Parts: sequence; C-alpha cells; structure tokens
Amino acid sequence: MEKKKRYYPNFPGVPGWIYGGNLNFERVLFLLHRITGLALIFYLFAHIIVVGFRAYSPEMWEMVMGRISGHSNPVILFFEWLLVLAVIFHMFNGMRLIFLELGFFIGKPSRPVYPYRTSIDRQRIFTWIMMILASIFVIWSIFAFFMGGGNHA
Amino acid sequence: MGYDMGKPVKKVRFRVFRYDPEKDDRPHYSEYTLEAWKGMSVLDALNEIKAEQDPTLSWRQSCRMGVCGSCAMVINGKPALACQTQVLKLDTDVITIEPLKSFPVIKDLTPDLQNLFRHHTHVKPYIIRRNEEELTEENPTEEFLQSPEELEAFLQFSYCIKCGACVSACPVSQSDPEFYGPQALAQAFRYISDTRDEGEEIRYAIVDNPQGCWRCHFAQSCTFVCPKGVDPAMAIQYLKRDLVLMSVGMKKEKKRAQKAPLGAPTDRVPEKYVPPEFTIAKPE
Ligand code: HEM
Repeated sequence: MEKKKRYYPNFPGVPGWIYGGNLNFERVLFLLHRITGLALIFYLFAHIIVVGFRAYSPEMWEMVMGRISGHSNPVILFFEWLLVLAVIFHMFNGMRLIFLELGFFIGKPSRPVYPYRTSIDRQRIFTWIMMILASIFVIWSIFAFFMGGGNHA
Repeated sequence: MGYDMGKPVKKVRFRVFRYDPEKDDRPHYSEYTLEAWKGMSVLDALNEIKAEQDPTLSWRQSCRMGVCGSCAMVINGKPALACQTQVLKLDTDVITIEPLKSFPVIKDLTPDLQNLFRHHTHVKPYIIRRNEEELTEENPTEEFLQSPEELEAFLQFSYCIKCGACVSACPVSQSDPEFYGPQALAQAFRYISDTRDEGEEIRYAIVDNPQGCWRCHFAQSCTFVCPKGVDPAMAIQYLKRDLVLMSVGMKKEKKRAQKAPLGAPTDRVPEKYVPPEFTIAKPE
C-alpha cells in the first residue's frame, strides 16, 4: 500500500517554552513570569479556601493554622518562602514588563548598521537593575523567614 | 573539487535532522563528519555533504549570502541563516542542524512557511492611500518627499527577509500558530510608521486583538535571532504603546509625507544631515 504524503508537524507547543534552545536570557524571564503568575493564582485559590475556615469557628481556625501554617511546620515555612520568592520575582519583572511593553528603555528605531544594536542590548541595564532590586528583597526574605528577622520566630 | 576553499582546520561532526514524508513516520538524525576549513559556512557544509556523502539531503537555499532568507534553520538550538553561520565560529565539535520550529517539515530541513506568509499578508504589508488612484496613475506628476529621519523611522523593519527565524524562536508562536508572530507584527509597524502610508487605522484595528500584538509577552527571542537586525520585539512594543496612547487620547497625529512635483531639484536634503558611520566587520 502506498503511503500518504504528509508533513512532520515539528510544533514544539508548551514544552517549547521550556526547551527553547540556545536562546536569550529574557526568554527565561518570560517563562519564570508565567510560572510564578500561575503559581500565584493557584495560591490565591488555596488561600481563599484556607482563610474560609475562619467562617466556621475560632477553634476550627486555630486547628487549621496549627497544622498548616509556617509557624508550626518548617516544610510549610519553606513553601511559604518559595511563594514570597515568586511574588518578588513576579512583581519586579512585572514592573519591568510594564515599562518595556509601553516602549520605554527599548530605544528608537535606527539605521541597521553592523554590528546591530537591538532593544535587547538597550533594555538590559534596566532589567539588571530590576533583578538586583529583586535580589535585595530575596535576601531580606531569607532573614525574615529563617533567621528570625521577621515576626515569625 | 569545487569546495576546497581553505586548509582543513579540524574535523566537525554534523547531526542533521532527517525526515522523508514518503518513508519515515518519525524524524531521525543522520551524522556526517567533515573537515571544516576557515570560512566554511553551515550552508557550505550542507552542500559538501550533499555532493560527497548523501545526495538525499534536502533544504532550501538560493542566494547563499544572507539576502534571500531561504536557508534559515535551527543550528545548535538557535535559528539562524545557514549561509551566515560560520562552522568554526560555533566552536563545537558537534553541530546539530534542525529545520525551523513551529513550521511543518516538508522534508529534512525544508519547512513549509505558509503560516508565515498568511500572517504577513494579513497585516496588509503595502502602502495604502486614501486616494487609490495615486498608486495606479499611469503618468504620475508628483512624488513623495521623505527626510532621512522619516526614513530611519521604518528602515530597520523593512530589512526583513521573511526567513522565519523569529517565528521559530518565539515561545508564543511555538504554542499558538494563530498568533500573528513577530514577523507580521513588525511589518505592520513598518507600514504604520511610514509617512507615505495612510492605512494606519486599518492596521491598528488588525493588530489590536488577542492574537495580535497583545499576545506578545516580550521574551525578545525574535530580536535575538534576527539575522538582519530588524528588532521585531521593539516594533511590537511600539504597537502596544500606540494602542495604549490612542485609547487614552494621547496619540499624536501621524506625520504625512509631503508631495512635490516629479523631478524637482533635491535641495531638500537638510544641510545638517550627517550620513551614518559604517563599521565594517574585520575578518579574523
Ligand atoms: C505587584 C504585583 C504584580 C505586578 C506588577 C504584575 C505584573 C504583571 C504583568 C505586567 C503581566 C503581563 C506580563 C506579560 O506581558 O507577559 C502579568 C501577568 C500575569 N500575572 Fe501578574 N503582576 C502582579 C501580581 C500578580 C498576582 C498577585 C497574580 C496572581 C494572583 C498574578 C498573576 C499573573 C498571571 C497569571 C499572569 C499571566 C502570565 C502570562 O501570561 O505569562 N500577578 N503580571
């Protein structure tokens, strides 16, 4: 039987975001922004459910908090910290995207003279500033969570 | 032997994506080893493989000097023009060559770019005039004047050679074939910022939709891989900026090209205009 001619789709789909190939740093930020955004939404729902226990009774609330708050469980404390990392990254990268997607810090169209200078080069300083600000908050969060800097201890 | 262009420098192994629609169900990789010489491009290597080792290998090429945009392929994970990628500059012993992603593969390294051109034509990539007769006049009496600054506002984007590298690199195009893609959106902006064009309202309406410029999440991979310095990511963000400014009524009126009688003297070049300096890349 003769085989039908067909094309190979070669369509990466969602895994293409992760396995993009040998590409640029901003693409990683895109992926992290998406992951952290979805994680935050997921947390929002979980948060609403957990806080909803308050509506039953003060005892119920105490019981739930005793089991699944960072105060009582170091594993949960660690996950809470991951959540804070996600918030910090999403916030700073989100501010970066708001500026860049409105056309700030990406330069004006110019004559394409070799070697090309592109919006990637132009925005990189701003991106690093935002990421450094984010890492300051990350360092603060380590103190607050694990070294008794916050009111957790 | 037509390919002995320089002294062999080292042996390089090429892992090439193979898919024959008549025989294969799934793609596989073939390996070839070549002596790489100084100045050898990936396209040279493919030609050498085809001439000496495997005549069944297929890809698309024409100009072999970075102008036509036929030979874009994914080389070591990065979409690039095969003719502009130097084998020795890649600095690896194994070079993996795959067809552009997000496009169906016809055979081996040949992608079917129909989706690219479908989106490209969708944004009306040509000058639109309110008075259509201006464009079809048999004996025109007037011409448009454009200052160097007005030219520079879109020149960069008009360098697009429609090779498809940007679409292959774009994470959004990789998961959504209906996204217009960096190529088409950059062309929409190219015509919008051309002072001769009067079709910007039509084009803004086309790109202002969830599959248009708002689907872009600014991963900037398009700009990263563009072999001609077109910078589609910048063009798309300016489209967004324009649309946001329009929605709050702060968009400035677009400047229109002046018209002058045909063949009028060219004393209009501003005196202070300095032609840009060119740096010519030094051969190593
Ligand atoms: C200061 C706080 C925040 C800022 C500045 C911010 C900023 C942004 C921006 C600018 C985008 C669009 C990114 C793009 O163009 O791809 C975005 C996407 C998103 N955000 Fe936020 N955001 C914040 C907080 C949140 C919170 C609290 C949540 C969850 C409850 C959230 C969930 C998301 C999701 C799911 C996306 C879509 C991601 C994507 O399409 O890739 N964000 N955010």
